Amino acid sequence: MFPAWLRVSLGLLGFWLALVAHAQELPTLTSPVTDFTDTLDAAQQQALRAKIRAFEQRKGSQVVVLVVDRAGDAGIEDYAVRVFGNNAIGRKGSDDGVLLVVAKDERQVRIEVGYGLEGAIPDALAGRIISEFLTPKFREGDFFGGIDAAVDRLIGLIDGEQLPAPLADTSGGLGDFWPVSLFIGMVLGSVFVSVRGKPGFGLALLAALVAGGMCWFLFKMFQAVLVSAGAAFFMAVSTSGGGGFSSGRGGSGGWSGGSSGGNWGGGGSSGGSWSGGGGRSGGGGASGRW
Amino acid sequence: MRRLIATFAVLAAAATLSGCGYNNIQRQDEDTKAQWAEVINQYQRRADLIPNLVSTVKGYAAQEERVLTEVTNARARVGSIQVTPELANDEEALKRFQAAQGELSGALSRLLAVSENYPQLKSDQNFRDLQVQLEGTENRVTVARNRYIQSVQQFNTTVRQFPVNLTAMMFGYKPKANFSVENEAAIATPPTVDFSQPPPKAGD
Repeated sequence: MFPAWLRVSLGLLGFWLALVAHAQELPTLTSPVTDFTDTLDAAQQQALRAKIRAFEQRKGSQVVVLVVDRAGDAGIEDYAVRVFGNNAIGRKGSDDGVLLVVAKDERQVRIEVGYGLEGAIPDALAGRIISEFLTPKFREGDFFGGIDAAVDRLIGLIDGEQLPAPLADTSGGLGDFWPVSLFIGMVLGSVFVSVRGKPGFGLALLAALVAGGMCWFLFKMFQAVLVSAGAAFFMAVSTSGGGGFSSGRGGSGGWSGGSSGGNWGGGGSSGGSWSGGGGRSGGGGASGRW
Repeated sequence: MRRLIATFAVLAAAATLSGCGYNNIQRQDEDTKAQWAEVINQYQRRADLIPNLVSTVKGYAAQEERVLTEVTNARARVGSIQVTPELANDEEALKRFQAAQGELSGALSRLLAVSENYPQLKSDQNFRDLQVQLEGTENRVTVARNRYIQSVQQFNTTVRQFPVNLTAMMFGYKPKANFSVENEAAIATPPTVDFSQPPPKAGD
């Protein structure tokens, strides 16, 4: 029933989707406190989480605790900087994130400091936090005590630093790819139709694919691709050869309207979920063993 | 139908080639420059830590004159190299720069090894802070170098792939030099561990 070009196009679309959903090998953190080794029990994790969340609401800076078994053969420094970069801990622009990694089986700990906090938490102070709070407690086996004390000290140090105020939650926000991808979609849709001279479903799909492809190269964002593909489809289907904005087929127009609208916003700041804010680190901080 | 195919071909070409790659070359060239500046920044930071380190060690181990002088001289040699953004493009100059930094790394590790023999020095809080700072700076240097290497790899790949290499040739963009592994032969031979000799006594 489906012609060959349609199957090829849908196959390509599926390929793009697969690329977008490609899994990472490093952990993707969904909470400020993550423990893969069951060292901290649920109550302890909850207490830490509450403290860190309250601090993030108040100050905006992100403190992250990660407990793993092993950090890998490349060393805990390499692991910490990669996890930090992957999850973009801290806010974009102010780069105010701190990552505390404990590699339990390797008996190594590292505090990785984002660019923006290198003044508040210089290497020497991070080293002192490790030698005064973390390693003594870890040697006794008191992991929660050590981590809790270290988090308190980190919060204290960051408090003394001038940082941008935390923003209110911006759910439902639209990124700035909207106008451009919409424009590209509409232009391509009308161009395709004006070339052919009359609207058609197949042509519309082709226009949508080309628009989506261009927007993927431009923005690398899935929402942009969908927006422009929807706009191109809408334009191609509802525009007649003269290039006017007549509604043409009411049915298809309504369907396209539904797809290109909708809520793409709500980033990472909705309700209970947590994610990094786009911060970066340069390898600063300190490591220690116990 | 032919008009449609022609239009489609033009649009597809525009989408994929996007200005024959010229913009990509510019963006990646700027990225390598920024990463290079970061590498130099971190090497400079390491060099700035050294006078403090030398004076702290002198306070406890003044008799280790040889090692202290070695570090000071290595730092002076590194400081005498004029580091400009163009250094990254000149392969010979980059090798010399890398060699000088490598000598400084060697002298530093010998100094830290010697300081292991002085327990009073090791327990001095100032010295411990300096050690942490030095490790932190070495780590920053490693991260900056890795990012520079990746950035140069991306640029070189863009400049060498068809069809963008035509644009690159037209505007005179050549692949950039990259950091090499220093002294590959020495790294290839495994280190020998010899416990037959007693450790040197402090003050020798």
